[in-house]
Amino acid sequence: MILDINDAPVAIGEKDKEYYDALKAEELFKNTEWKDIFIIALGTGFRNRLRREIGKQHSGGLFRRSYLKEEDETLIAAVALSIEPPDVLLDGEKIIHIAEEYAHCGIGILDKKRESSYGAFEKEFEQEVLQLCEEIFGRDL
Amino acid sequence: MRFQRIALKNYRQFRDAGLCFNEPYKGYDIHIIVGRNGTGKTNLLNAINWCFYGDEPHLSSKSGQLPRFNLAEESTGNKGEVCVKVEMLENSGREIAFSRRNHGALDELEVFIKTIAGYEHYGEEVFERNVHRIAPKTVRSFFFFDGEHLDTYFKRFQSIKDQIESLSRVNILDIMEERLSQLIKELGSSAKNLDPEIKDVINRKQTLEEKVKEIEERSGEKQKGKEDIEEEIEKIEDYLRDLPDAEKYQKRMDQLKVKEQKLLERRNEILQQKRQKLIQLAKITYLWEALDKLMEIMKEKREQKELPPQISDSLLEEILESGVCSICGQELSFESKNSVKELLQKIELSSRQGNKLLVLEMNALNIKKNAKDLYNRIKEITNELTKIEEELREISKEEREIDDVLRQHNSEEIRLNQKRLNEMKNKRDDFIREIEHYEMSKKAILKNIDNLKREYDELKKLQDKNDRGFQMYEMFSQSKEIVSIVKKEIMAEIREHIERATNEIFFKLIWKKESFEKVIIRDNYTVEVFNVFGKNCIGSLSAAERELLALSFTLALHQISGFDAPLVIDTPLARVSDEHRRNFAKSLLEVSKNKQIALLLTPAEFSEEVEQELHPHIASLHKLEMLPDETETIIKEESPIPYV
Repeated sequence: MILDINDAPVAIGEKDKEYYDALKAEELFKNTEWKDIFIIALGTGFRNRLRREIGKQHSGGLFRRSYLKEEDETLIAAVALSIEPPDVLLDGEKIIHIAEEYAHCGIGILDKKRESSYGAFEKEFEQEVLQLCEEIFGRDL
Repeated sequence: MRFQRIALKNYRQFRDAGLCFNEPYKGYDIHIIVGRNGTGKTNLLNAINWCFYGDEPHLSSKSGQLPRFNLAEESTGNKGEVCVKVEMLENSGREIAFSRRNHGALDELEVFIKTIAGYEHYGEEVFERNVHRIAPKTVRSFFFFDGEHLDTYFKRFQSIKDQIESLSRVNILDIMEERLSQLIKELGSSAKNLDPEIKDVINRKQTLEEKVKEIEERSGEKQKGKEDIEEEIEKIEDYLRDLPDAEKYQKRMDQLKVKEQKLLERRNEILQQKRQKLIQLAKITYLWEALDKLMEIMKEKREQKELPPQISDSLLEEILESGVCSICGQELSFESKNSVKELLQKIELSSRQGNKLLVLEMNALNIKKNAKDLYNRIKEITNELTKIEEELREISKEEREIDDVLRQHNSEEIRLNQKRLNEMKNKRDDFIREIEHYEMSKKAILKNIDNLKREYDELKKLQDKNDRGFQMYEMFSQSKEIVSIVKKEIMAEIREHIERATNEIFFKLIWKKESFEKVIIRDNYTVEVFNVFGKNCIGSLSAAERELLALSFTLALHQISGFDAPLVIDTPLARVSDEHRRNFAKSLLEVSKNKQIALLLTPAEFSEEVEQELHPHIASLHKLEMLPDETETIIKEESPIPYV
């Protein structure tokens, strides 16, 4: 464990659960864990610079924090460090909250994409990820 | 048959002697040789035996110790030969002489037969054949014998019986019987009833032939079935001739389906892998900027040296606790202690943060590296998926083409016919295999039948041979039985003949004709003499009577044997009492009317009474006189002047 966090559920918005369920219903995410979809939602929100308080939470959250692996915690912590000074690392709860707020926006964006893809969500998703990758790798590697 | 002359050269007492047997005198062919004991009477008997048979059965123990070669001759240093020559006259008038010479090694046998042209000379074979004709060795004791044996004659019944068998030549039947027994035994042991074996072979052969028939029937059925199927195959092939090979297409279709299924499974499998990897990659790429930011922070921190120093908090804790600097060794002041406490506090905080940053940095680097691997793997999977998709398209295309071809025809019917054709072909192959199997079985059985035929032929041949063997066995058994019966009948006949002849001779010769009634000879050749009172009086006969009985018996044997040798009796009267010698001499005279008799008598035997009785009839009389040195006996022939 990198983050000093308890095993409370990761919070999502009341309506977010529907988005998550709809997304999980897609072939792409059928065998994907909630935590992975959550991080993708976080990544989507972060890329779009959209962060908002959750407000009314979905009871029970999305998954228990203990499901997060070190790699997941690293990604979540990296997001927090992007917007907060490094001492944020000593505040695990805050890091999680930042992630929850980005994911809250991100899942909405994903759901919209899903809805607007007319069945080509997976393909569009793949194109987007690979294109992004090529940009990154073209730049970095 | 009679002796004419016996010549002795260097034989025991006789250096150069001879006995001339004159012609019968007034019908009596009786010849007397008189000599004292030891002068060589018995050796004259031995000389005849030696000449004829090569042995000397009557040799006394004293003579036996002496050499056969004459001592007188030996004393002169002459090592000449021993020779006995017996000259005989056959009833036919032919003269024959037997000569045995001995030079010390083997005897030399010669026969001289007088012919008009002179003497013909023959060797050993003719010698023995003629001796056998005159008196074979087995019966010689009935012709040339010691008179004393006459007295004990009938105590040797078994010997007599055997000799009679030999004499009467019945022993030929014994030989036949023995030979037949041997043959019967040989045939009996080799003969074997082969019927069961032949029956067994026939049964086995029949069983196999039935099996062949059964196989042929079954094979025929299969052949018929095969032909029916071939007919049907022809029909189906005719139908399918210009039609697409639906079965083949179907098979290809099935293959395509299988391949398609496999490709789909593979596609799903790698698609799933791709999805998982895509999600992992999405997580990273979406937050790549954040990771970059982390790297930037770390860079800044490093530049600003804000990363925690390499001071061990445990070392600071130790210094605080001991109050002594572990580096310089000086005691810490109050201010120094506070400084160390502040430093420790700062280190605690910055260290936790810094450590987390370091861990995050390390993780971020790994994550970034992993992103590249994920990307490459996704690309690979994508390529594979592309290929799979392409293959699936190709398959789909081929499936459509096949479908198009079959759709133009009644593919189901074609397929069914093709299926039926294949089934029929398989069935035909099964029939062919079965027919081949039946043919092989049939071939093997026919081979067995051939073997059985050969076995049967061999057994049959053996049986035929055996049958001949059985026939011979039966014939020999019957022959043996017949021989046995014949032998018994002959022996009975001989016995009756001997009995009759013995009675005739005995009652002709006996002087007390009124005392005796008959002589009976039993099957075992025991002789009984019944007196007028019907009592067997053999035990009370006088020696003369006993000897006369024996003589009668012997003469009877001569009659039945057919052998006509002269009678030579050594000391015939020795045991006969004086009162009977005359009577016995009369009887001998009577016998000499029909047979040449030579009597070797001691002077005592040739008593006055005997001489009176015999002298008027004697054909020749010889006296043996031994020289004073007892090395030689001289035979003197005396004129048989009738006694006055």
